[in-house]
Amino acid sequence: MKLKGNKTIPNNLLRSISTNLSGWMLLLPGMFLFFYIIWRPIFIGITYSFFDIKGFTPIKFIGLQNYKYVLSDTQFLRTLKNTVSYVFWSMIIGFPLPILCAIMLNEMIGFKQYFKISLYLPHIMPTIAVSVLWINIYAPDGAGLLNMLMQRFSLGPYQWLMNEKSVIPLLIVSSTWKGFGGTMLYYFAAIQSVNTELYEATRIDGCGFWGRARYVIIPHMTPIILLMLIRQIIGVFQTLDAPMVMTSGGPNGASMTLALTAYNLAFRYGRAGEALAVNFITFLLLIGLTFVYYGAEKKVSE
Amino acid sequence: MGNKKGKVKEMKKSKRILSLALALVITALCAAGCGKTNKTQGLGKNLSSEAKQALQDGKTVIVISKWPAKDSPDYETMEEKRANFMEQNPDIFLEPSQFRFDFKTFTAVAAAGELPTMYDTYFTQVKPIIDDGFATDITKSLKKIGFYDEINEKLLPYTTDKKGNVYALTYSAYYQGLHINKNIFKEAGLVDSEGNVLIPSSYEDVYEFSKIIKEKTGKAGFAFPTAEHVGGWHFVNLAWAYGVDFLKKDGDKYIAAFDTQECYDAFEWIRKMKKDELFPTSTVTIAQKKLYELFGTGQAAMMIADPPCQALPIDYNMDPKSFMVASMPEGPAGRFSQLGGDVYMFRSDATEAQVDACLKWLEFNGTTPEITEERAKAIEASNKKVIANWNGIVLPKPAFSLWSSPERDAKIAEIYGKDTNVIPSDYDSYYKAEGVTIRPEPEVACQELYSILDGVIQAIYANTDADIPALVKDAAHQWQVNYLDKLN
Repeated sequence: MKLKGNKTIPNNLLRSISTNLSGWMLLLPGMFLFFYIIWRPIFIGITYSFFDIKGFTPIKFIGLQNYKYVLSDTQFLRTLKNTVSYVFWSMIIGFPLPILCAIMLNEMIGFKQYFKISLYLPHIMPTIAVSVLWINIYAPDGAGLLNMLMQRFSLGPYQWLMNEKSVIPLLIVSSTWKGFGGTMLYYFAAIQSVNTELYEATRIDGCGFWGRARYVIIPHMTPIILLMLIRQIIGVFQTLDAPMVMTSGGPNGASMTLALTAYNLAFRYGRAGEALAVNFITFLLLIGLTFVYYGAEKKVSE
Repeated sequence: MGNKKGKVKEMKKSKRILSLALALVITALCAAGCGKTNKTQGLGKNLSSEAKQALQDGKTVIVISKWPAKDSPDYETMEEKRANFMEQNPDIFLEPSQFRFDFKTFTAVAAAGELPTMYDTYFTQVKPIIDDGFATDITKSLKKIGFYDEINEKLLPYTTDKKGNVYALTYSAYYQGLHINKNIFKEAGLVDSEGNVLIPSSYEDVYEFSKIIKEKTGKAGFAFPTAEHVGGWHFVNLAWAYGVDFLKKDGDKYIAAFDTQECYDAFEWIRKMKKDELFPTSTVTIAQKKLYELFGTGQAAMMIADPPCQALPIDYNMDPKSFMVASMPEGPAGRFSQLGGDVYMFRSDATEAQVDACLKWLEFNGTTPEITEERAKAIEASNKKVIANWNGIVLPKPAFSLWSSPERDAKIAEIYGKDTNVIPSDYDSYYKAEGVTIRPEPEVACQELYSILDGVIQAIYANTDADIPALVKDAAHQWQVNYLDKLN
């Protein structure tokens, strides 16, 4: 492919490499590791998903048979719907919270450091510990913390995690409690880079807190918000730990996700080929979402 | 100017050479970390220097799993046994391994060739492991050492392939029984005129007794698991008692056969227990560990489990004399209990010499049909240690005999009887197992079945007015379409 003048892409690449040869050579080991630890397993996984697998060894090429099994599974559509539901609820519950907390933290005059640390603390707790903690909060009898609070208002006790309708939002609440502190720090750092003269300008114009947030802070944070949005969607789409520890995908499959399905297929039922097919389908769905994000980001930049 | 240009060129050249050298060193260091470990047939893991030396000396080296950790009270004893074994068998070197079967990691470990020569697993895993090619046929070695004809024939179907070749040796077998917390029963007044605890004979009795327990003590009558396949596994026993057959064969095809009134009735029992709040209410995700915790901490008066349930005294300080084990309750179709067991299997690339050496070790360590005086003393010492070191349970006799010799069973019972720390009469009903049919689990896709049945149990827990026939129909359809049809 030719560019303007006599330039071609290969020529440009060679020139770039030649100019920055030292840099490329120092990058080589890292690229080697990246290829070996990240890309190679992905390629192998995709390849193996077209094979009949015994243990973890591919035996025979079977084409799309694993995909047919996965897509014809009576629970596949329900599991896909559950996974999308996780993403939906994380957008409602988990996405705005760190933004609000970062903005409020920025507005605070005193005890800022104390609140910053307190809000971040759940983020450093191990996931399993958080899950066990929330299992006890959601315990269905009167001894569960949430039911104890409800009973003070003459409500409940409620089944919480045993309710097919509420189980996913409740799992998202527990995941948000653990994760929002880390995300909040990203937003807080972005807010810190706002030019203080803009704040002065809003004060002069008579803007209060909401005006500052609307006209200065949020527009300034838009690029990082979009980045975190796609990261959150990709991350939540692969939810595994919360349903595995807290509900085992129940009640009756109501909190089952694609990732947990793949785990069960690979390690409980010894069907590694189908597990890889599930993972590749997840990968394709996320690639699609990523293209949507890049399209949206381009429009926003323009 | 010319000199300056020349100097810059030289600097760039040396920078490139330095970068290239650094890149090569770092790449070499990374590649060194990715190097293949030295594996030897039938051994797998990186061997100790002593094992390597033994290999060079022409000895048969074997790696044995389930070795106690250095800080375990058993470590010294096992090391002493190991030393004695190798002294008596100078052509064998035994390398210990702390590998223990875990379904989450087993396939990965096996695929990486890191299994010990002899490794432990459960009955339920034997056929999948054979199908995956991770085990070797040990029939010849069993015949050579004289074990083959002595194995309890009821255990053979669990350890053989379709052709009848033996791939595993059972070292522990058990069937489930009804565990009863005597203190709660006494508190609820469920005793006869002599103060002996009344044993519920049927599932209806379990229901009625649970109602009394709840009324008199406020505690749950019965703990029933709901998750991690344990719920489904337990439900299979309940369903058999109601006359359910899960699997039928139509020629070569497997058919899910449990969409029946009998299955609805079995789930109705679960529903009425849940509706009347006779199950524990503190949690709904009940897997194996939680089940033991609910019973062990006195939150539930009854549970189904296979004795000896060591977690009860060890983890929850339950006095072994404070609970008893009765035979499985009866349903309309009888009493049924599933047979479980632990086995040793052998790596697929283990040589005959290695398998022979492993079996010699098992014989030396007590897994043998023969009871010598030395062996009898060793069993006694081991039982004493279970109580002294772990605060564990020693039953009046093993739950299920591994060998087909009534004389051996009598001898073993005599040895166990000396140190048993339970009340033997508390286990009479269990050992007599009157009317109990001990059944193997469904032939294929049983873990998948248990998972599906877990879902039905959870649905009933979530909504006690759930449409049970619709749930069962959907469960049978799931099992048929998602798993059985793939085998047909």
